[in-house]
Amino acid sequence: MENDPLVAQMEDLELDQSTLFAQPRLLFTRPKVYVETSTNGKEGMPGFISLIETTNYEHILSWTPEAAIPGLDQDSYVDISSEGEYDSSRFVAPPRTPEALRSRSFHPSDYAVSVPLQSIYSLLVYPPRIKDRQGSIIINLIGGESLPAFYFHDDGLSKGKGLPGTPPTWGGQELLNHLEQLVEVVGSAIEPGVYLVNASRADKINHGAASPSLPASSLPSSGVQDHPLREVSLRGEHESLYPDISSINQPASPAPDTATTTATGSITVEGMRRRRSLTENSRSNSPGTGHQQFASATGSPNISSSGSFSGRPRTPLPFENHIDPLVNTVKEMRWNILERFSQVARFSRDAATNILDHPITKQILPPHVQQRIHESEAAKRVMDDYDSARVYLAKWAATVADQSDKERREVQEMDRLRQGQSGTGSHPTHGRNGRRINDHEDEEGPLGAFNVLDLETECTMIHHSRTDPLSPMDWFSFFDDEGRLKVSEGHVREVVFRGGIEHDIRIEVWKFFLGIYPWDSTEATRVALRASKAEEYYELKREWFDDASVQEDEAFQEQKLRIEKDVHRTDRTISFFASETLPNFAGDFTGVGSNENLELLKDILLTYNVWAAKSPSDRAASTDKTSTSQPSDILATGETLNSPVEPNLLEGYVQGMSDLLAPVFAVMGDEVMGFWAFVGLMEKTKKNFYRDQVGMQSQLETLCKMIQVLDPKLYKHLETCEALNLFFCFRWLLIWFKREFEWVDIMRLWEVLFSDHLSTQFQLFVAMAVLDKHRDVMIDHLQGFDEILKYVNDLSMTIDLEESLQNAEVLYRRLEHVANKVDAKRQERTTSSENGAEATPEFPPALRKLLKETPPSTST
Amino acid sequence: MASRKKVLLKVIILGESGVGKTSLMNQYVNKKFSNQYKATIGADFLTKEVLVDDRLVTMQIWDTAGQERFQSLGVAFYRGADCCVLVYDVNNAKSFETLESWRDEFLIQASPRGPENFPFVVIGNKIDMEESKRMISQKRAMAWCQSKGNIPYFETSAKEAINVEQAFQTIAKNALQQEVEVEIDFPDPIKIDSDTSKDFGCAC
Ligand SMILES: Nc1nc2c(ncn2[C@@H]2O[C@H](COP(=O)(O)OP(=O)(O)OP(=O)(O)O)[C@@H](O)[C@H]2O)c(=O)[nH]1
Ligand SMILES: [Mg+2]
Repeated sequence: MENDPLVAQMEDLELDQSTLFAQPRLLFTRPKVYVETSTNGKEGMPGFISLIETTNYEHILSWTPEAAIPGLDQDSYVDISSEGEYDSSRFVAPPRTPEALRSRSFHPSDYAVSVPLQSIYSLLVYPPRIKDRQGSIIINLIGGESLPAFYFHDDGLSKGKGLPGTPPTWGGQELLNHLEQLVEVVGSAIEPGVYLVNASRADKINHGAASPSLPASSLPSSGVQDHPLREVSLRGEHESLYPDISSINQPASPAPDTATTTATGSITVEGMRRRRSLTENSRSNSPGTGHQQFASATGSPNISSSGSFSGRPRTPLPFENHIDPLVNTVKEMRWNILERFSQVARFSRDAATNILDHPITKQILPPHVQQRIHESEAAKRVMDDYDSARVYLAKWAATVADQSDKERREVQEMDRLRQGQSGTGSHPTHGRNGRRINDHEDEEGPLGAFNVLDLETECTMIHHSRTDPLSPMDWFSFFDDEGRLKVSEGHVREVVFRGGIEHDIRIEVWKFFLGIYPWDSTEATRVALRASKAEEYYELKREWFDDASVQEDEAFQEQKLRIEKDVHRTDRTISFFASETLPNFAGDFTGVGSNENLELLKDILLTYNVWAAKSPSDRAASTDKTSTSQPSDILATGETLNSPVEPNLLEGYVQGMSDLLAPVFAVMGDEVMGFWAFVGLMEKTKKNFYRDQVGMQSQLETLCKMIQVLDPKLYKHLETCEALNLFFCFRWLLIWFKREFEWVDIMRLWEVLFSDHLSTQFQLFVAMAVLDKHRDVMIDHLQGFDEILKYVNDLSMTIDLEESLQNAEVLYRRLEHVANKVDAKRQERTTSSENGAEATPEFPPALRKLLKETPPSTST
Repeated sequence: MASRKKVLLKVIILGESGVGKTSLMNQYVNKKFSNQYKATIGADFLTKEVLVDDRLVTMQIWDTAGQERFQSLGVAFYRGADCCVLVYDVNNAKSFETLESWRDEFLIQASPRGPENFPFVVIGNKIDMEESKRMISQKRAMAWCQSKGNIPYFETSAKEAINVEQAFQTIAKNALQQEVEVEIDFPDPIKIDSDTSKDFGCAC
């Protein structure tokens, strides 16, 4: 397990054992446990079954519908943040019997259920059979009620069936195994499939003629089958599809000592009948269960709550050391794991909205981060139960660790502010994202000599500089009376790089960054520019709009179709583009209506085709951009006309452009400025769309080099996965993460990229930051190109922007650091020996280009 | 008893942008249709468990971007495919006319063993639209399929879930056949007859 990211993470984060032990813990969880509902038809409603230990060592079994967890299923998601409906009394849990089973309410969270283990009387276990593939468990409560049947859908988990000697674990069995560690569970000898929880002596007698006085120690530890009180094992009883697993885990769990007579006080004959009738339905009825005896035994006082081993250290059952045979089948199941992974990614999108903060668990778990950490700690222990849970919990833990990391940083920040220091955040280079610290040790990296550099320790003190967004007040203070910038352009770039821009002034500031306004313009110039830009735009537009011959041209029509088709699929969830106030003129597809803004998107894209056809498209490539070069303000300067005309590689609309246009158009708010802002953005991104794809290719190659230098271990892993083409980053780079972040984040990200402050290719550092964040999971769990692609695609909308930007900056500094080190080393060697420089590889030129030129080091 | 060996079938969906590749895949796997799927950028896949001739197989269905410009990415995605689905929009003649080049391009990039026998399936999608909009007749499409070595042909609606299941059943079946032919030399290691084997767990 030394590869386990959690281990390292926990070492980092486990703060104070004594406080942590007081926290609730998640002991076991399993997804895809279905409950029949009136709405979901036969299939039922999927959810998670879990075992939780509360702070006072009470154990709770709960089932939470997937749909009640935000993000898991957008369609059925209903806001369940209101807590009022939950009874926060003793069991800090929702009503024992799901409300919805009684009423006709279909609110998913109504189906959530949670009961203390002490209140469980028995379990009716129906293992999977040939006809009934799922298998189910019905839980009967002491009060006589029954919980809805839990169907354990193991389809996704049991694909290892074909492997010799690797019987898969049925979910129900796992639940039993875990229950067994918390309470006494005995199987009834006379009613197969019935398992009593913390049974009273009377019950035991009734169900298995167990000698009431038999001390635990004298129970035979083998020959389980002979003993009426069978161990929790489904062996051979029901032609189970699943071979017995727990029988491997000998010896039997110790029988309860006599003191742990259970709380059976509330059992009523009626309750018992109900349970009986449940069992009678499906299995042969055994006679002589002695109802009277049973009833008479119910008067026994509640001596101790044996359901909880409070304060008593539990010796691990042999079960815990047993290697789940499922581990062997993991390879077989990877696809299913990945499916789950995708859910998990969404699931953990916001630590605050997953299970822990679900109203049901919220009441059990106070919202402190420390205990979240502890949750993961506990989670870690059950991670081996089966791999998808492991992965699920790993992700969960990563989120939790994140959260704590963030809060810790906030605290540090506060401290710093209090001490009157600058607001610069420091970025902890270890512990962050739970990343292992010593990864680079004994790594024979691909660049050999680079390993001499102890990156991790030398870069510990690298800080990011992120701060608050540029406010309107500050922005206006940058200008003199004429409306001319009085601070340097570089200063504005830096400010925007560090904090972005408050939304109200984006509309103005972006015009500078996107080349509409020259940096040294006055207000008067800008007023004039606005007029001339409008004129220029409409002139371009007229070329297709007013020209019937163009309109009839086949190529034009094809372009128009392409554009229409994509525009109608672009950001329709954003209110700016959502309405359907106009008919869909394209008349195509599904008959979803259009609106004015969508129609303008189309016009702008068509006009851009005209514009692009007239301009040398390879401009960006010819003026090799280094960090000091300014973003294109060709529009303002008219410099375009003098550039040598190069072959136009753009050739019209390419998919992805509509994604780029939508935000700039929305920020500008009108057609003319939307168009010119788009032109400015395309200047920065159009190489991505060239026919030969060379722009994308070179970016991917550069990113690959960056991985090689900054994270040799990840590089190696990608190599073994045959994933070095980094195609899984294609979408990221093509449209600047447009599909990976929410709308508001996209604006924040893009202005940082517009700023060109540290690098004109800062998107590569952002990409590196996201990869860095997930590198442990990738290395540990993902074993092929397709798995990585799936995983990365599914990160969409789960990525924390602020953190990514911070980390991207740190990574930039780190790369810079490496470059300087390598240079210094090479210099050292050249001066000391003639051929020494050859021993130290040159810093990759492709990476050098990403870095701002720094004055040659004077330190030596 | 059928073999229980785990099989992963890789299926690639190709065709012009906008013909409904993403919609078909989601209709088949998730039983959902949304008219808000975004244009696919890069590639993605979904998996689905299916029973084909008594065998439980996992289909890994790859959905790719439709614009030719992105075809150079294809190599990475096409490799190891067991079946290729060519989709066109029955209301869009051009999407039909380009099927041939999608097919050729696939064969070049995927370079499967025995390209003549590589299983393709052709789908004419969006048959829910008005008949008057239809540009490609069933007859014409079938003639083309026949000329390409009897490619199975289906007409579907991803929107209305017409024929989608059937098309993918055939896709799975043909993909499995391909897979079996490729891996014929690996015999099934163990036969687990679920009805009779109760006791194959550890006996200690
Ligand atoms: N009427 C109708 N519309 C459909 C059908 N299938 C897809 N569409 C619509 O056609 C448009 C394109 O569908 P997609 O599934 O995104 O097409 P695609 O082939 O994946 O497109 P790219 O990702 O660009 O290659 C969307 O607006 C869909 O709603 C169908 O069966 N009937
Ligand atoms: Mg698509």
